[in-house]
Amino acid sequence: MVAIMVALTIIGFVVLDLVIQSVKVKRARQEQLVRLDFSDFSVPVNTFFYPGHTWVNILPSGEVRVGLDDFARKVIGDIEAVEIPSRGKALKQGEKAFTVKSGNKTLSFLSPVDGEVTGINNVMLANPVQAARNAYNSGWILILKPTNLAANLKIMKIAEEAVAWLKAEIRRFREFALGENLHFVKDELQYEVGRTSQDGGCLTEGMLGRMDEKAVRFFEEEFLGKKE
Amino acid sequence: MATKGILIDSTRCIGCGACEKACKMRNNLPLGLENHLSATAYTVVQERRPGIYVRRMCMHCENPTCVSVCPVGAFTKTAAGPVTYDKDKCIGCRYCMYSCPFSVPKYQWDRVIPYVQKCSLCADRIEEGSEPACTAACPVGASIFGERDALIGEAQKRIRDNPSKYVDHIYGLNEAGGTSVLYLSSVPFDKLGEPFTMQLPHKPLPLYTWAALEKVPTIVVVGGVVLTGIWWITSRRDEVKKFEERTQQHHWWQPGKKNGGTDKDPERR
Amino acid sequence: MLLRMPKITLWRIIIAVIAALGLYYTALRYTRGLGAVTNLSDKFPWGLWVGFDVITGVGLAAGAFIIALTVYIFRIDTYRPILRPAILTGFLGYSLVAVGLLYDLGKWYDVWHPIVFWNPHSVMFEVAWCVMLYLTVLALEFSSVVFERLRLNLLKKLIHMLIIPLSILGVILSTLHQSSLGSLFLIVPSKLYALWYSPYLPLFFFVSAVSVGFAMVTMESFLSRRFLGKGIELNLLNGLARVNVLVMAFYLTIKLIDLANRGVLGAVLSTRFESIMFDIETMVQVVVPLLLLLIPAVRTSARGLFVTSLFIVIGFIMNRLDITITGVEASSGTSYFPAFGEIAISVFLVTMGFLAFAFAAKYLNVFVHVQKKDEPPVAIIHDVE
Ligand code: SF4
Ligand code: SF4
Ligand code: SF4
Repeated sequence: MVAIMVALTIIGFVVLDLVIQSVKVKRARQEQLVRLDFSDFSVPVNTFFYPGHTWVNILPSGEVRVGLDDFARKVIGDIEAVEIPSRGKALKQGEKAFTVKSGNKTLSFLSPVDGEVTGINNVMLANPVQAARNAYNSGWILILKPTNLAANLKIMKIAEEAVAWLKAEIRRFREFALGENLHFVKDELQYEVGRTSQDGGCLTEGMLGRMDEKAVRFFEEEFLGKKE
Repeated sequence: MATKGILIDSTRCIGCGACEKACKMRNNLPLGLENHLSATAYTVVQERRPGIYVRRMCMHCENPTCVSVCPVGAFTKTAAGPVTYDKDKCIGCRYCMYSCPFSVPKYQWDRVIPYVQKCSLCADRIEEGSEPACTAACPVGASIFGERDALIGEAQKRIRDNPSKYVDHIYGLNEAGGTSVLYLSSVPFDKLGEPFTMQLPHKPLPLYTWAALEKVPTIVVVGGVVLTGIWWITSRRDEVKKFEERTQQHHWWQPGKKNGGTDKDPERR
Repeated sequence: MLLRMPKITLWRIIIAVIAALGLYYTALRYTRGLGAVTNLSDKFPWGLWVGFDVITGVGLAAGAFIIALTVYIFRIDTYRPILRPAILTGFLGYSLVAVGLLYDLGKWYDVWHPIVFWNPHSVMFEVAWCVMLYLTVLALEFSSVVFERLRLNLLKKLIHMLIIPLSILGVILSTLHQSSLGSLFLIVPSKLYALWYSPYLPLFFFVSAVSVGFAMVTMESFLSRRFLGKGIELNLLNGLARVNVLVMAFYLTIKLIDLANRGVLGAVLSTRFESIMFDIETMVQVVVPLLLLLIPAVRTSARGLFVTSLFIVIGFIMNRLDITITGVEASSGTSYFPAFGEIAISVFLVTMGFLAFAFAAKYLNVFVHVQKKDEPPVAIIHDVE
């Protein structure tokens, strides 16, 4: 009897907290739609950026970690699944490396370096939504053993160069989303227009999910595609 | 000194309650009838079956649970037999109450500073050479005081002389390792209610915990040695690893070159 | 000076109510005695305070010694981020046990007596000494965090030098008293219900304390993430859950073997109240968590680990309360349910523990962000245009 009473008391408190929390989350989500924009980006200073929005981090072992960058992640929204090549597969720079799914949208990312797959992130496979939120840490996807690293690195950006490049990409994306593709995000624009029209409007996280297939393919080609 | 005890022959008890009253007077307890042992009644007489009176009191175990469990040693089994209580040592954890197989110790729940209460076998009177107040008061000799061995002999004799009257069992001879208070009965003890219904082992209860407690020194010594050993091995392993890392670094940065004093600690930034 | 009213939230109101009730019953307990606040009686001398605040409390604080063992003795450095929160919880947990004792002991001001009056035959004596010493060890272990905050580097270094012997001592003391809490009940073979009474009680208590230690570390991490935004990385907790699977499987196995050996396995299926409680407890404490952890999605998700840990913790609490209270109800000839005052005080103490944890986590460097070698410093672009 006593044991049951204590157990129920604890469960009661936990449930109460869950209720409080869910009310809070609901409120926060409404605020988020209004506020989230692309002005906060972390750029780790020792990470190389491949123009197809994947990043490379060189591990002490000489292998490299690969993932998609924060920009791509935010545009896509919650990553619900990743498709990863198996261990031992050899990849070339600019070749398709992995695929992510969000809602009914699928996007492929290119490998930033030549190399052989030696490791995959199991946490990312099992729980991609959470893991991907932290794009440069828990959000890594593959470990590659590079075979041509020095040459591969030449077209990648790091530190100040990466920051400048990313700023340009964000500007380009804004044009794409709010300029010629205005119709894709009409509702967001209307929502925002009063507040931020002077700097060209704000973007919301996961807006790709609300675009049509044509625009998504366009995004994939323009932003994630191969550059020389 | 041989241990003393009390023999309670329930076939002789007439339920007059003289022992209860004598005990209360002797211990300055509030007078008045009580049905159960309590902080104000160290002994009670209860009619457990029609016409059969059972007197309850502390059993003064030979190897008492209460003495063994008390963290501060507030209970003592004296050489003369009584199990006595030192109220100044007691911290009030009530482990003695929880574990006494006969549920004897009682507590002053209504006091701000409470003590444990129970029969002391009138230890001070025994020391003076007299007998407990309750046995002295018994008008029919249902409770008699004496040396435990002599009481056992007397009980055996009564059973032998009158096998039809008594069940062939001296309660307290072996229960919980034996007690200084012994009972005789005309009906099987398990029909007499608490505490006789309880299935008590003949092994003294303190031995059950001692089996675990006696391992303590071993655990301390073995645990200490094993843990220190493991720590030594793992720290050695880490040192070796560090050393290897350092030498590797050496080769990596010096392919044929001489400069740059190179065995830089990789940990240092 | 500007005084600002703290923001009123639902939780703060609840905490205020709990504190008010707690203080009221505290005053009552110390001015009117145990009988006025509790439902304890001569027939039932141990209740919620002994069962929950003390015996369960010590078990729930077991995380500290397990993590200290892992990090300092086995030197598995990955778990270092868990070390400080675990030691903090341990320290707070044991402090609460000490405070709980001050409520429960009839002569609470004599709580120090075991230091001078010895009875080495008493399990309670051994537990008292171990808990006292271990509380000291925990205080020393945690003091380095305080010294760090106060910038007393010399003292911090001193503790650092002592840390290995301290943790070895801590592990030994914990092993002793966690199992001895089980030995407390070895002396009541005739009173405790057969499903629970076993000569192996010390072993059961120890193993289940290890298991709940892992679960508590996980729970703490989530709670502090929830309330303070600081926590532990998921993959570390995942590792703990894996080890816990082994511990729980071992626990379940030895329990079943013991029941079979004593020939009381059949009682598991009986419809007696105790048997049903035993079944519920075992389900919640080990069977359900084991099944849950077999599912990879549960093992790798924050919510999954939280729910599993909650099961383990609740099951553990039920187990300890079943043994201290439910298991002896039948032989006591009475039934016991705590008085409102007992519940109020227990909830009050737990709440104080939570507040103390939150306070420490806020002002001390408890959740250390250990920077890994491949984790770079971060530059932030503000203001794109
Ligand atoms: S009957 Fe109980 S109180 Fe009396 S000596 Fe035996 S164990 Fe102690
Ligand atoms: S209540 Fe007093 S006499 Fe009884 S075990 Fe505790 S300290 Fe000893
Ligand atoms: S021996 Fe003394 S204390 Fe015990 S019941 Fe008899 S009179 Fe009372």
